[in-house]
Amino acid sequence: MDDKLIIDLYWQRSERAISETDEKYSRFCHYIAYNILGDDEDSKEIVNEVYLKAWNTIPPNRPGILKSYLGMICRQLAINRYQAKNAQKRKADTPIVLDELGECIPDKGCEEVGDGFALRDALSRFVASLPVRARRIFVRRYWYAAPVSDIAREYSVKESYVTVSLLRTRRKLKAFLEKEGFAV
Amino acid sequence: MTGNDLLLALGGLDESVVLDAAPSEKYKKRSAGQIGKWTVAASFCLMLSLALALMLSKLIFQPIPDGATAGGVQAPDKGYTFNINERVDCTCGECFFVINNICLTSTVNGQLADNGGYLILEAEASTNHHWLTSSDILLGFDKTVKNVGYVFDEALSEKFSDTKNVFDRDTIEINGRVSYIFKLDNETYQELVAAVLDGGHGENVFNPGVSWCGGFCLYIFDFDDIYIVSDYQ
Repeated sequence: MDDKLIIDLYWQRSERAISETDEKYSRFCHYIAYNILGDDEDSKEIVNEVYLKAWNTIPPNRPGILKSYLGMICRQLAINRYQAKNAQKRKADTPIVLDELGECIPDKGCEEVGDGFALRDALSRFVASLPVRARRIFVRRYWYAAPVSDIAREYSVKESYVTVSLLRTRRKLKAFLEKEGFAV
Repeated sequence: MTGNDLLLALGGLDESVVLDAAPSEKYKKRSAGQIGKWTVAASFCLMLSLALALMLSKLIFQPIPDGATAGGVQAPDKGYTFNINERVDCTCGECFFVINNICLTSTVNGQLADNGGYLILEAEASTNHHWLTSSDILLGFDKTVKNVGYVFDEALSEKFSDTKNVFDRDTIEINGRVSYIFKLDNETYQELVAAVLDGGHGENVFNPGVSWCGGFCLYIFDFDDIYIVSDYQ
């Protein structure tokens, strides 16, 4: 079913909206949740929570792109779930992803100017400035929390290529954040 | 600020960017059972492939002929004459090929040419070079060049990916293998050689922290002598 029709179902408060969403986007949401949580059962729960959240927020919202809307909800819920539990016991790449992102934190010499909005804005500008492939690899890793092996397979490159690309992008990001005045 | 802050902030990326990097529709729900099943299947296939490869290797693999480097590389009709002085087995432990004139830590007459040089990239496989029969070597030309640049340095990579502006491209046949030859401007050439001399074969240059398998052959010429960077499988 077309996304617009699904959103209309939400607005009509038709429970069919949930089943149609499940039909079309359950895999997508599960993929995101599983990457972050590394647990099938937890991921299934998150997917159900996504539907509930969507049900409660549409209306008043009318997402322009339902897929990304659901993805963002799913990612946020999964991160919340991850943080609420013992991360070390998880099989997912999230601890590694967090460590990798930790490398991007500027060391010193910058003023603390970053609130959430400014940081999000800076990150959006940074990501938009990346070459296409580097951007896709970066987003896949740090937005979708995808394993390096998955990314390499998807883009038909070697894992070493992905690793090096991520390393260089993180270095760029660190320099960018320093330049933008963000600090620990 | 922490890595977690960044992780959360990345959630605010523009949705078009997020969708652009979305996984293909091929992804499936994963569970421990499924992973285990696929791992077993993949392992079985791998073992089968290895066994097959071992059998085939005895039939196909041939030694690299001595004549491969004896005469050097000459294409007088195109104005190229490159001498390959000696032949040394690579000791990097990751490949089993021949380095022609291992001059990675020296330069011609103690200094580099100051007006550019040449880069040669093999482009086609030859049946008597088993390391080129891998599907990895069957890269498109642009991809190969981009990869070569990529492992050196980002700035250099950009130059490599924009070959029209930096190189004069031509082809040459080296030991029966069609290769692309580029005339590098001095700046690019110096940069390339510096990267080679800095890293050495198989170290920083091609393995920036991770194993690199490019599947191509790369030479750098300094007019009269050849600086071979890598014959990698």
